[in-house]
Amino acid sequence: MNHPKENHLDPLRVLAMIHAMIEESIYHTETFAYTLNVHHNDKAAKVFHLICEQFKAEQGIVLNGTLNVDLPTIPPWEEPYTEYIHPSSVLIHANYLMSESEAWKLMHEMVEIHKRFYTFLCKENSVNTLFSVVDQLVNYCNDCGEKNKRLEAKAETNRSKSSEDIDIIALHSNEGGLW
Amino acid sequence: MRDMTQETLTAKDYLSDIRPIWCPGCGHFFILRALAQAFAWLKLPKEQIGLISGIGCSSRIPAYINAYGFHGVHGRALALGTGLKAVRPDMHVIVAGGDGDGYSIGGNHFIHACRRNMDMTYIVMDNEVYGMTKGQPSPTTEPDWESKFAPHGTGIRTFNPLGVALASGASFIARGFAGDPNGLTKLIVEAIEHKGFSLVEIKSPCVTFRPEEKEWSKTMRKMNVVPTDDVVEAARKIHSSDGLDTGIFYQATLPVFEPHSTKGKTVLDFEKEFEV
Repeated sequence: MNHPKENHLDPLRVLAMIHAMIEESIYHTETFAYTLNVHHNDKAAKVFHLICEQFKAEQGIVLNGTLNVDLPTIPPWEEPYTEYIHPSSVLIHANYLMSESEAWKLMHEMVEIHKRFYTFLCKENSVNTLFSVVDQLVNYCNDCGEKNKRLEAKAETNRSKSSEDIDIIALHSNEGGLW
Repeated sequence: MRDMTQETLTAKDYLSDIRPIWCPGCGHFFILRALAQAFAWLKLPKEQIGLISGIGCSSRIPAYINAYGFHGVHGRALALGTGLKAVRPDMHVIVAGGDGDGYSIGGNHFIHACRRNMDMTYIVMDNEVYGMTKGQPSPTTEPDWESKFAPHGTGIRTFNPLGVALASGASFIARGFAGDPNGLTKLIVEAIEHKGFSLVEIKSPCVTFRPEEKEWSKTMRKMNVVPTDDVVEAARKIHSSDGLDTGIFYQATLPVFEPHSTKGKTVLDFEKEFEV
């Protein structure tokens, strides 16, 4: 079976794909924030929750840019470009004992996936009509990236001071398994 | 207020208000999402979906889907699904569970469900371990995997679900990977659309008891298998695969077992049938 990976640069299709990608990221960060809370890891859950809110704001940009426009339905298996990685794929590296800084690292990777898609679109000449929306998305991602780096650095500093976290890391060495 | 017709249903609408509590990182999260995406793409009416499961981490899935569901007995999910399909052939019966539930406790049901080739879909979330009971080796665990429950490994060769399904008569056999949500959604859509018994064996990492399975995100080959309807060719592909290939290995049009429908019959009708 062919797994289509062609480029679809019709502006409405591209916007629909951006919308679908952000929707996936919101769902997974929201769900993982919940399950991390359930597993009593409130610090990591907070990071996921914060990034989820940023994705929601990102989605707001897309929705504002597509007011009164019906976005086409895209098959959920269609990938926007060849090197595209599904944003949820990084979450396989989550675990319930993860530290706050590990959570930040994963979230950075998710944001980077969004940014890579937008950067790809910026390079394509055929999507001029999309440029203002994509430009806003890129700027938003950059702003969030800076802000998140500061928060991550703060978390890292707190982590090195916290003996509780050191215990968790020791427990969780060797890639996080119980055995 | 949104118009909740089939045309406007999205994946979100097929997910229930109960949020999953699997371990963060578990592959089952992505399978749940892919299933909801597939339902939305196919525009399946919620009241026409019957999601049946057995016991285990993965078998919690009916609670998370907004459709009819039944969290059944260990290993008996296929038996329940078969019963549902027999009396309600109009429904889309999806059976879901794990490798222990499906290939060990329910192994016999698995063989005969394949043999019957009823029009239903079986989704196996294979993490090669009994996760819910804290990490015992399952039928798909490698013989040399050591754990507290199996010091020095089991020494028993792994069960080949795709090979068994082919030999038993299943008409759609596929392997997917939880870490490839797009490919997985496509597989589930094709499995539901297929007329006959469709097996979708999904490699789903257990990040708690088999953390090394996270490596699958680097080693699994995404949708590289070309489907065939030739049983010999399919057997060759299945048995020569190292378990890391994904896609449809076999899809053929085979006779589908469709028992006479009892839909609409009254108790009196049944009594009449059994009159001596």
